Amino acid sequence: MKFVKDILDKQRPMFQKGGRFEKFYYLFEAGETFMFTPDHTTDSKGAQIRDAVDLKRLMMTVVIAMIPCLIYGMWNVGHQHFIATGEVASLGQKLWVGVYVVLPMLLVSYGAGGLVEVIFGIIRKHPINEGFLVTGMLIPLVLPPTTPLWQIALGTIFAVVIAKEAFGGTGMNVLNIAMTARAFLYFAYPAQMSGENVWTYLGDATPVEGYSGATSLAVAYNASVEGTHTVVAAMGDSWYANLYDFKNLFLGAIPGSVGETSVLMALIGAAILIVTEVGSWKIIFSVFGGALFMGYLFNLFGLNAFMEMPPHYHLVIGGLAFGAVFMATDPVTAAHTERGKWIYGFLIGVLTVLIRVVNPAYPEGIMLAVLLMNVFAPLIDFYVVQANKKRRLKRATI
Amino acid sequence: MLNLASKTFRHGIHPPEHKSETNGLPIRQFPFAPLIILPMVQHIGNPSSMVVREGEEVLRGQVLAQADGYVSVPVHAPISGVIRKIANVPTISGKMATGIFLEAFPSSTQEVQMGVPVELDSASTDDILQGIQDAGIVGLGGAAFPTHVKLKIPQGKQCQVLIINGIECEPFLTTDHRVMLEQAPDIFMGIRYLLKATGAERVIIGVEANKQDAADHLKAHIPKDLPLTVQVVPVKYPMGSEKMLITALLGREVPSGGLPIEVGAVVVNVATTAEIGRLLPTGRGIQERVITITGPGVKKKGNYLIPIGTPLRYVLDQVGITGELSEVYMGGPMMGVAVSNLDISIVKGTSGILVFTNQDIQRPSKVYPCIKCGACVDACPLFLNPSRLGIMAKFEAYDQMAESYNLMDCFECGACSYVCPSHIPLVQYFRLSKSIVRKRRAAEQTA
Repeated sequence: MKFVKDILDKQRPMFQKGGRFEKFYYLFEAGETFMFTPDHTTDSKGAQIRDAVDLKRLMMTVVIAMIPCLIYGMWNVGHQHFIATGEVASLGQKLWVGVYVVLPMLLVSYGAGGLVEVIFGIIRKHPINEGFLVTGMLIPLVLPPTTPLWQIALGTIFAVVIAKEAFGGTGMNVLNIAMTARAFLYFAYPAQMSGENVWTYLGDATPVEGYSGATSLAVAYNASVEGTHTVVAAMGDSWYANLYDFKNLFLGAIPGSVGETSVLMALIGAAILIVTEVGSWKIIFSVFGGALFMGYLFNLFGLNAFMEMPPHYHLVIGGLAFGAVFMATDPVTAAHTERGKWIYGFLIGVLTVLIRVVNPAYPEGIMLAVLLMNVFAPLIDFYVVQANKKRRLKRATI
Repeated sequence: MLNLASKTFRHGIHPPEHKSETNGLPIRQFPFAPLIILPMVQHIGNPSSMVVREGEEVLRGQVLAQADGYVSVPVHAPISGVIRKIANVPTISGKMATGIFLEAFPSSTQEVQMGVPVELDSASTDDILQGIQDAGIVGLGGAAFPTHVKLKIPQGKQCQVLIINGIECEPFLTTDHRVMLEQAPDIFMGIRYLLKATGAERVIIGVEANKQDAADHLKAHIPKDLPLTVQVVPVKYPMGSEKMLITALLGREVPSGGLPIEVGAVVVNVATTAEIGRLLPTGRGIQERVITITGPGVKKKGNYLIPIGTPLRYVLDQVGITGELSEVYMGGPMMGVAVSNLDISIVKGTSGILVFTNQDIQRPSKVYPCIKCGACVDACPLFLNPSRLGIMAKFEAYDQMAESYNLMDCFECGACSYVCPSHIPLVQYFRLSKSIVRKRRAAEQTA
């Protein structure tokens, strides 16, 4: 490492003020701080000591929390491919297919997003920071494995430029960046983002007879349209034995986006985030609570099969768990007040189920619910603070 | 334990304490420096006005400067000697102030000159307040606000509870701890004076749980006739702040912009109380104070009784520095100030000196953007929104910060800067913003 440090030190004068590559100082600085911590010191007044947690560590914690989802997702991509083509494959073969498909997605998302970050860093003279490590990993996890790589690049660039840099860079964005990327692709290229063929088998393999690529959401929706039998029965009646029974939905060996299928893996991630106090447990729990509440409410009406679906099924289909753990908890776009977090999470849960059941054109409830609530989060905070003021004034005058 | 849990306030932080290095070391007298430098600005309020001239010989305890107005205190000579020079001297704030250069008589007995004692039994409330002002006493916890001003109960208000602050929540510092262990009689005598001055019905000494021995010692020696309880509260920063301590002990909340007296309480630091109990019966002025000198860069750590005005450089020479000096803080690491100049001297408000060498200081301080994680909001003991205030400070929206976000309530404890994962110097922003708001308001008033 000493040797790398020496090289960097030698290059430094060229990047500093007056040097040949002054324009690219932040590129140099990003490279340096990625490997070493610089030795600047603070101002003289005020707190002289600091907690050991820093932004880099926070971001790395989130990335680590996502790794179970990523690895399981890789296996699941292979698993779905092989059950679609009817081949018998070993664990290693499934993982290999997954790595073969997912790794390029990751690299493209990091590459495209990183490039935009660097360009903006140089033009707008702000330091490049590690926030993108999280976003760049989230984007492939919420996309179908069959998404063309150019679309991933396009979606990532759109999201970083429009949702983040246009608003002022890290910390200033209103919308969750990864969700923006997915929403953009979803509305721009519906053919590649929805339908029955995008989630599962890869390349030009021929699927087995009777194969259906419908996701759990699609199964539930179709059941409510046909109206002949309940959702649970429809799920039990899938083309592949036990594909949609509750246990399998929970474990996540079902068709879906790369990283979102497994509730178990999302919960492991949630445990990491909650123990390290990086993610808000209030938001995670209230999203689940909101979805359950809305599920029960629909049960009371029970107008069609989807409404009659047992509420706990809502928690394990359509990526709700992944969204609750990794999307809703993004601190920048979530509500900041404590009571606001409960309201924010609860409404995400409610809206997710509402969108799923009532609006058949857009079954991707969690994506739209998170984006919608991102917009409303500042308003929630505003009213929570106003209510606090009112309550305290009342207490003070009595 | 259940009872203990309720005696605290919400939010706050738990920085590493580092108190064990010095809390077992008794207070020791520090040698007299050959040259003492006394700035006239050692307290909040008007600078003291000098009553001596160059070349004059003064005795230890003699008044060198009178209080200039009500919010001001006199300065006493900490040693017998001759005034060599009156000139501008640097102070810890970075500004210059008039100062007295006092050279010690090498062969003086350094006997203390006594003033007029304030008799506890015969003195009226105003006599005691006058006596406290004449003794030059200011808040020794660090703020250095003239104590007699704080003790003056406004018309129509009543002080029910007198709280003696023995919390010392700043890491590293152990002066109050040692004072409570070694100067209990002085503290009790001080409480008698304070009770008479404020008219309070009862007294609580608040002690943090990491000073259980001090609490036990005080408890064991409480005089029978004093309405006094010793209350142990959980360790949490900034418990030592007046407002937090009142919330913890009484469950009352001081209103925004208000003083503790509005909820019927007056808070006095324990070392200040001991000083009152020691000085008033003899009529002396404050000449020395207990200071913790510690930190990884110090050879002889300890709690020292140091004459006020001793040059910092002399202090560091005496205790010895290991390695190359990097940073020196006056006060604790949370609210103290990193000194920019070693030629300043010890003042009444100096509670500790922390020394760090080059090997100990390695702080990555790249400032990242705010990601709204809310850690500062969860840390702020006053329930402000430091994250929001920080962004506004960057855009210089100082007036809006004060009007809509209660900036002026901030007492600069630094909990927000401590927890910020992006290393944003929040409390530094707020100090600057507050001083700008204060200047603007003063300008408006004169305009």
